[in-house]
Amino acid sequence: MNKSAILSLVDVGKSFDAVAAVSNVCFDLFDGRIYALIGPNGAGKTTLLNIISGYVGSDSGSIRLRGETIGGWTASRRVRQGMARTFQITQLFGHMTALENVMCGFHTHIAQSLASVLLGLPSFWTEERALRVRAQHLLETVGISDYANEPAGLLPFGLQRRLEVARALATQPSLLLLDEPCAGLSRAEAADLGRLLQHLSRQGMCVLVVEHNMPFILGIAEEIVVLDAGEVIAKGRSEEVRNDPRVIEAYLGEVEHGAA
Amino acid sequence: MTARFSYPIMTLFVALAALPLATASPYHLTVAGLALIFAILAQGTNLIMGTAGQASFAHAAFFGLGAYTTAVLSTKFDFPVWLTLPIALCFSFVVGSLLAYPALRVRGFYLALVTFAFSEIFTSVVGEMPGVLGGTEGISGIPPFTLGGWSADDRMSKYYVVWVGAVLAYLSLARLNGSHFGRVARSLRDSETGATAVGINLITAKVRVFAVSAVYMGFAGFLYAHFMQYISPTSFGLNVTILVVSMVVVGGLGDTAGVLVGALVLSLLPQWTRDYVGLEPVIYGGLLVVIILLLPEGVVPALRNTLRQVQRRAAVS
Amino acid sequence: MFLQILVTGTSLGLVYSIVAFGFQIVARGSNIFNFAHGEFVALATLIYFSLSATFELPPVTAVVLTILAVVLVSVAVERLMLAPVRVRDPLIVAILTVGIGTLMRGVMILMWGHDVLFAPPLLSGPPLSLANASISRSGAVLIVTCLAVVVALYLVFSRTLWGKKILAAAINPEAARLVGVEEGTTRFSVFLLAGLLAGIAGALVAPVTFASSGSGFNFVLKAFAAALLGGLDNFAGPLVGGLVLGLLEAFTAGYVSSAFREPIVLIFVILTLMVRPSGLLSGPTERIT
Repeated sequence: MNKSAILSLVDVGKSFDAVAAVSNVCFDLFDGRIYALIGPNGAGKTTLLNIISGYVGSDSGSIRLRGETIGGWTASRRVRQGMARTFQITQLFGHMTALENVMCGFHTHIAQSLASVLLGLPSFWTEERALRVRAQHLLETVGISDYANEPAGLLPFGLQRRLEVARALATQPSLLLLDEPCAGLSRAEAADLGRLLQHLSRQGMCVLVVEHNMPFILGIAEEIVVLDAGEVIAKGRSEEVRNDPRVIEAYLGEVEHGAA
Repeated sequence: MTARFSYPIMTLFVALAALPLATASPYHLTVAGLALIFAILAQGTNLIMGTAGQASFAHAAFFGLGAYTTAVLSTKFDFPVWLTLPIALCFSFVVGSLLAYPALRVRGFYLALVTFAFSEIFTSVVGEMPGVLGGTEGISGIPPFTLGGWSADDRMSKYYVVWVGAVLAYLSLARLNGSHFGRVARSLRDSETGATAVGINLITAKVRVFAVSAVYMGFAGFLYAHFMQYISPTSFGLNVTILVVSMVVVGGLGDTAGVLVGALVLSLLPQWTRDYVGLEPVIYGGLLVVIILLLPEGVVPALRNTLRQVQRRAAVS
Repeated sequence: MFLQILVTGTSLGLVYSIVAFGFQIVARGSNIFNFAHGEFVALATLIYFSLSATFELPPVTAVVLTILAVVLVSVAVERLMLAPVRVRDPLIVAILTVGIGTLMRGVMILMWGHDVLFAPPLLSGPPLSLANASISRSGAVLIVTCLAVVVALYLVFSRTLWGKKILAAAINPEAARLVGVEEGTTRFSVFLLAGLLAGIAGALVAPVTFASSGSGFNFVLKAFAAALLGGLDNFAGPLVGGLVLGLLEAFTAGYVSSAFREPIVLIFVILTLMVRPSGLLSGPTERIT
């Protein structure tokens, strides 16, 4: 375990009934880099993401965020400590507008007290205005500012996914976990997302992307972790990993059995 | 949804303020006053049930809590009315928090049970304690609203006090809905996972919304006690629970202005069913069923949408 | 006195269990919190009263006809009021069942009034005694029948294909659909079964206690409490929850206070659920957030 890592997993394991979803997972993530987590279907990628973000508890091993053990932390606490994520099935606030969704993202940084709200104090109006401006800016960053006042539930699938990224960014994370962010995006939109992630990593954010879209991954990921049947079978720089025979076999096996 | 207030609603309030000038009938003022009180209760219920999407059925009990707190303090202990108000509100807030905390640890079904049970506990405890709480006889001789030397003795003053309360309730709720508090409440309904993903602690958020909604319900109870000057357990039973739920559904779950309008309209129902006692459950129940099957988004929102479509067509042609 | 309370509590508890099973089956099979379930039981008590007291039918006939009638009503409610629902929101569906229950209560009041009505016993003859506890013959029939129903339910859910399909649909609706289990068919089946159970409970309870149009709310509250107390995810949950509830109510009425037995029992349920949110039969759940 490297002490300067932002996220450190040591021997993380989780079983559901008798089936081991993940076992002996070890890796470190550092600031300012983009990582990819790949593997055949059912390899345990989303489970691992759920464990890291706190939606599922691990049975064994340790998870450390900037050196602090976070195994017992609730998911919302991890968000407050700078870990944000998106989901395979978007979890947007469907009745709220896109802008309001992003404004919710600022939750951990909002100071509004009930008193200032009810009395209509200037601090309330100032903060509301500031939230709107910053949320609008984030919508522009992901390219959906035209839809700011549309109800999120009515947006097309691809826009919803980008909205979820904007909302995650609103929490001002230092570690961003994305679960298949390219699903539903066109080539151009995926490329835009890639550029955004690279921009964020240059500013110091650590990004972990779970993805099937190999061109996207190879384009932006500096390091790749490969999961198969819940275990890490390879990790390292993109070139090493894509030529690793075990990785090829894991994916070939998937192709042979007609899964994809 | 911004924190600003809707002009049609403000017009409605102005019209309601002018009501005592239009009619001298004390009966009309009583009905209108009760309608405003139920509007406050319904909007408070809408906050927890509609906006935050929680299956809470305790509103009749909090209504009763506010009413009984002020009634007991002002009749048996001679507390001045301006003092019983903050006490009733604080008590509602505290009980709301206490009730919410255990109820919200796991599933939605559990909250429904606890809130129904709380309603049942409230009515049976109050009904069984004839001493301080008046038992099934209730508490009579409740003083009217007083402040300093002034006292709202006549029907018109009492009506205006209730009117002021209703305006304050609507304005504060509209403001809350347009603030971060409102967004957090709505996130609870739309996606708990999403709420967690932005760092919202679900339990803290639910307890807060619950407690705040209880304050509005208790406020309605406070007004009711001093408006009617008599309360009994039957005013806070199952029929009230169902009627208020109907108001929220008619007005549209989560729609503060819609629920206000829905409540004012449905408050007239008890006046009609009075002649056909025993028909109340059939009418309230039937109304709920029909509306949910035909217009689940609410009658008022459906009317509003139709009105907008008509306006659009008129603008085009 | 202790033995008498035990007997009373057990028979009360078994009734609650049967009612709770009906409630639980709908909750698990269709994810519907059926507030109207208690009204079906109340309806059963009233129909049994009319058939046996007003029309003077022999008890067994009256019971069978009551059960049939309630099943019909239950299925009619499902087809006419629940199947056409266009919204997915479980809160709105729950409110709908509140409306249905209220409507049913209103109709019952119109047809039978507010009075508490007493039906003739199922079996004539002196009460049975055991030590210094006694139970009416109707009460004995109640206990035996309830136990038989519980056993039958267990067999249905563990041995028959129909029962297993319903359980499967409860645990994983999407997978169930893939295997060919339709949501609408499942809902129909669970309401049929719930109506059957409500009919049995009501027809048996009426001659032992009474029939009344206002008893629905109490039944559903107890059913809900028993189901949650035992644990919604456990088959034996309603049985355990119902018995605990019935015994607690009897003991509270006997040793503490009869007037306050309702609030005391309900407070106990709330406190228990605070400590064991998933019910008495499960461990404490994993906190997610």
